[in-house]
Amino acid sequence: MLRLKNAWGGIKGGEVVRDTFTPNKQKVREMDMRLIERHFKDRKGDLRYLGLPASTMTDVLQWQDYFQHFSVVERGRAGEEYRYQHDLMLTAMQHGLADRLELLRGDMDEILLNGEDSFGNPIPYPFDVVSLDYSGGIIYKNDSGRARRAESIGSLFQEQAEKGQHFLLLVSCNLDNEDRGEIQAVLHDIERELEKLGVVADETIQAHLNHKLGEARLKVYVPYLVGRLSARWYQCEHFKPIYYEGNRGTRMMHFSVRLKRTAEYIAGRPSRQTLAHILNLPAFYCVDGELCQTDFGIPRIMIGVISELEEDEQNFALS
Amino acid sequence: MTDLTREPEEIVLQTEEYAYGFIIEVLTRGLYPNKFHVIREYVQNSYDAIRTWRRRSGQPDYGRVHINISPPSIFIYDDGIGMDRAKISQYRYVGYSEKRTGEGVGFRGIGKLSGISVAEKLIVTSSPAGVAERYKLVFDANEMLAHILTLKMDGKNIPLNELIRSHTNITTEDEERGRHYTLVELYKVQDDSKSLMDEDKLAEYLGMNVPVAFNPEFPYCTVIDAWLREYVSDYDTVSLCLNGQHIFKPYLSDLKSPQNIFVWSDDGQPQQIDEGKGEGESHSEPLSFCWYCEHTKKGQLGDRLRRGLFYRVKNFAVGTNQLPRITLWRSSPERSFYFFGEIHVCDPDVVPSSERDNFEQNEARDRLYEQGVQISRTLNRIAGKSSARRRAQEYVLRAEEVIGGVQGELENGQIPREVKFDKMFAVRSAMEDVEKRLRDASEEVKQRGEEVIERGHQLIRQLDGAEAGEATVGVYDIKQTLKLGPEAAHVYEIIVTCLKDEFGDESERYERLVKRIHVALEERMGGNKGWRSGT
Repeated sequence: MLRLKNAWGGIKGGEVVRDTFTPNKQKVREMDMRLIERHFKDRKGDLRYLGLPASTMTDVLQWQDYFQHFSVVERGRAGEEYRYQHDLMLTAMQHGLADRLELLRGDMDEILLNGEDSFGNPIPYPFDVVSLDYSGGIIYKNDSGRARRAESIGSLFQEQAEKGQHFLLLVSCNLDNEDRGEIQAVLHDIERELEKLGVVADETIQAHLNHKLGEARLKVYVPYLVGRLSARWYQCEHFKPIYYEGNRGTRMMHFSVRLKRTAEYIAGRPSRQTLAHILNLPAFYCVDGELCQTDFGIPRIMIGVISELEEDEQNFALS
Repeated sequence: MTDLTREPEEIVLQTEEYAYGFIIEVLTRGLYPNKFHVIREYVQNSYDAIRTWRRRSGQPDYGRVHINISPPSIFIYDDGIGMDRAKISQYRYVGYSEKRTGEGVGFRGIGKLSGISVAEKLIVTSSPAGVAERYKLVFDANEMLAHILTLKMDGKNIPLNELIRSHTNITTEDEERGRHYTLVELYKVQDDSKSLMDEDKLAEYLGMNVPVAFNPEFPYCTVIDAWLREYVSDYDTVSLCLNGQHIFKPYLSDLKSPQNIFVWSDDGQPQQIDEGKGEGESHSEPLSFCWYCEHTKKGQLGDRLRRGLFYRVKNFAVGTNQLPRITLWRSSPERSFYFFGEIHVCDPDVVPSSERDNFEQNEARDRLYEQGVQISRTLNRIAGKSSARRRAQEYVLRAEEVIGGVQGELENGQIPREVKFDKMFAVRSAMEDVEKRLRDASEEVKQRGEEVIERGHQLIRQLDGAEAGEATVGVYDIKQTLKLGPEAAHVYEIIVTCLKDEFGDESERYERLVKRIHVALEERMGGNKGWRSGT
């Protein structure tokens, strides 16, 4: 961790955290890198990135060979936004990336919703990889109760879909959710939807709801949310999420999903296969940079054979 | 090396006792009428930092400057030597610079703060070589100018020291020891300076004003660069990219191969440097080195902004192409634009003005201009020679045309007897014009000129002896052709004589009239039509 050491010149200084390198986060980056390599091996050097890389841009630096453009969003700390944004550009300059990089200033949710940053710079859609490395939770709602984060992700999907873009979505969030019953409601929704499709899932749902780890619920909630928000345009291929202890002991969870653009009549509500897949999808937990798979001890829903997709993904993730 | 243990506050006490805050307003608002000069100021600092590192590291080609326009900011980055804690502290102080005149490009200690005239904040982060720290200076210009305005309205002022301290902030952060760089951000470029965000205009400005390399597509880039590296001691270039686009010095097309002139402080003749011969002997101090390329075509070069000569100091431009024209050309100033080139000032006592539109008035400048007249004289002479050569060529071409035309008419029997002497006169005139200008002509043109004169002599002899009557070759007589009787012939002679009196000075018109009469007579009276074929 790099810290601001001292300040002089009339304004008091304060601690500035510039990097959050941990072995666990590094492992997550490596897994993401494998996904990028796997899905874009024929387009190395030609990809477009949108994300929240923080001022050290560790992700971007590690993946840079695959990309020809980076749109990076940096909000900074209120009142001192310019410091973080400046540092991000410094990193880009030092590594010769500035010419391939566009800095979008402001809050990611607002930028996605408005289609432009705080200074009117438009988001240059489309992107091949979108990395939403949130410092907070995903079930963020503003004071008026609007789920701005979810809405903003929906805007992203719509814009990407209008460009006919398949893409890889990477989402990191912590478990510091202002849940307000949202996750519980979603799990009950899934239960009802499966019931309509003739699948009994009450035992599995209950196990999720009662599980002592919030990760067990979040690993269902986020893929379901992504699936619902993108259902009009995309088919989702979810990969096993990874949960880990991040910087300062923060409990983090990382999701990756491949969104395939489909004709609207093909897409729509999640199928029972999809819902079952989301519930059954195991997760990795990462300790000291090592991955271990877990199903949280939750019973799986059996609706026939495991899909080829799931099988393939498991083989890849475990390889 | 600067003493890092010294507290920045010590410098403050030494430098700011008698300065007051309003000076900031004057410096920031009035100093840069051309906003692009602000960017040049930071490129100058980058250039100095890179050259310092080149000297220290022994890597003559090291270093790059990157400029990135990223609204609402402009970033200027260099990987030069960087600034240590003391220097970043001094950075805040108006008029403070450790650079001596002639040492670096900047030296007044003002340009570094020029950013506060165009942006709401000036943010500078720098890490010095060999120190595992970086320093970030934030200069809140907007807040400071608002503060000054408030004080003004209250009829108060504030010591400069206090003003700057209350609106700047320096922080120290960790950095990798091996890194050395400076990043300047002009944060929130103000509305009246938005032209800075125009990438094309900024690229054009940078190409013409900062010490970037010649465009590799310029056919003479290598030879000129080699001259400058050999003969201009402080000449150097730096790699500069603007939003990923390499910036080069612009060049013009239709140029002859380059020549050069060295101007010395004594009043000797300007000296052209020959490859491998060095600088010659027993001269005093070099004042300037000029390279130039002459336009291959007639007249001035077309590009109004880029044609002519440009003064450069340490390879930064000073003034426009009008400055050498005004300061060096005592006669035929239009001829300065027959050339494309640069005058690199070698005398360290010649100092650019703050605005860089001229040099500071001093003895050195007077000497530069006085001795520099040698450049304009040389170039005027070259331009004069080229004009004369071009004129000689034009006259030879004209003579070839006139003589060829008359020759053709003669061979086809199309010359009426009445205009024979006019034809001879035209041929003689063309020959005389060529003869007069042959000494200015190139060898090739001279040879052609001599040939055309010889052809002219032969043609005159032919015309003189050609009275072919009805013949279809040579000079014809209409009276014989139509077999006019004595009275008709007499009437015809009277008419032609009148016409000659009236239109004798307009030979072409006269010839046309005569030929019209011949056609009319021929139509009514019949006869040989051979001569009509060419009318």
